[in-house]
Amino acid sequence: MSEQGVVAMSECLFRCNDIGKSFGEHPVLEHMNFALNAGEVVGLVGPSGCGKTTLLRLMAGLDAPSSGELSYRSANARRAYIFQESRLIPWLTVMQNLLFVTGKSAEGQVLAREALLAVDLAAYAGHYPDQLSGGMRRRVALARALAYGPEIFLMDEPFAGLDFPLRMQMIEFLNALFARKSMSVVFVSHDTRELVQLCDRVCIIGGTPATVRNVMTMMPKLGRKDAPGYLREMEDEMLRSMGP
Amino acid sequence: MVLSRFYPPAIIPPVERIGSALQGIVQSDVFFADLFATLFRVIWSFIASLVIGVGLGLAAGVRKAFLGVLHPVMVLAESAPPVAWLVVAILLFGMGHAPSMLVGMSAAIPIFFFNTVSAVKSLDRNLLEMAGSYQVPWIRVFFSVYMPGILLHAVSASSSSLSVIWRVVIMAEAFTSARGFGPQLWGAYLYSDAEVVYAYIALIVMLGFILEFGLIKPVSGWLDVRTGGGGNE
Repeated sequence: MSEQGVVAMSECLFRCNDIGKSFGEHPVLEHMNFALNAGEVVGLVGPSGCGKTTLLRLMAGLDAPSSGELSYRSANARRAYIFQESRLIPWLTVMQNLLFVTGKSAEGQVLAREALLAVDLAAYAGHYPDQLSGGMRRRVALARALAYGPEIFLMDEPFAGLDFPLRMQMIEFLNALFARKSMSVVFVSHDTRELVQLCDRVCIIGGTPATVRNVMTMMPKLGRKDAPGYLREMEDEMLRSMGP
Repeated sequence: MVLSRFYPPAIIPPVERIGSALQGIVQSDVFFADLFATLFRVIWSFIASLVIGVGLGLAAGVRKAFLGVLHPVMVLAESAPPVAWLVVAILLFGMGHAPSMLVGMSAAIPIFFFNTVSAVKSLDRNLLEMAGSYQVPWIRVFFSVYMPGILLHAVSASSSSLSVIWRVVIMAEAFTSARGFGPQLWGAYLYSDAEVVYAYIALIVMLGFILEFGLIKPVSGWLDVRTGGGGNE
């Protein structure tokens, strides 16, 4: 199935062309077509276990596709993967966790400091991960990705395990960050509420093996607040597309 | 104290006689020379075992081929009695420091090796995958992820290694050296000087405790706090 609304490669940061992935005899993804444009936040939603994380791992280069190809606008496109867990190194401080990715050069230190400022955690640079709350650890993981200076952010359910108020707080925080930094993001979630608030476009995947079932282009984020019922409507449509 | 009532003083002397023998040893001219000779062998055996055991364990933990080759060698080293190593070491190196150090190493290297292999295998794969996804250079991954994880296991292994080295070095130096607690203990036994024998045993046990609780435990405790603090939900 081809994706709706795909733009020319010049604006497109990367594209999955007819990607398939099998584990042994078991196909997980099939004929997957997907594109990410510069400055766009694209959501991937589908039922649990449908292959969202598998697709994201293919995009990150952590796994290789069984068929099809991934094409990038620039050959060495830097991709930062934000995992479901923070994956912070427990014996390193917050700053050292960032320097682990950027290196200790003067430039690396500047990038790390700027990233901590961006996530409002500059005051916690000397803290260890176990001294931070769950939400703060997620923000450190986000800062690590920012410090890496990627073209593409790949977020795999970054709010998994957080309670509702913290999740809402993180959504607000991310929306502000996306706008400020003009980030290009693939955001995986099974929570439709997160996706309608964060994404410009949402790809609904499902089936066995999984394919793209529908692509929903959202109205600009600024207008969403003034359109009563819009988010609810989008959420309902998303749920309908995901099917039973 | 109880046993000394049932055995003659030549076998189990009264505690007060052992105490005065201990005082005599500590105040003797040769005490520090003996202490340093034994500590020299123990410490160098320990350092060499740590470096070799951790180095080989790291290689075996990362590459299965190394594990296949080294595992049987380490099992062999571990199962051979220290006295067998001692005879071989005397044949190879003659008398002096080397044989007792080699015997100490033969006992401690397998402990460090097996602990390091298990440390590498129990490293958090998620951290390694994260490092891979951010294309972190291997040298930085080694010093920031591998080394701290291994260090904790190495310190745990240090406790058992040190006590093993302490015991076998004192045994080995009794036969291969003129200076050290081992030769003094053996000499006291040969001259049937029971007070001195027990005084040296008490001294050896006390020094073992000091090394364990004064050095290994504090370092291990500090590392445990820093490396086992969690941080990922």
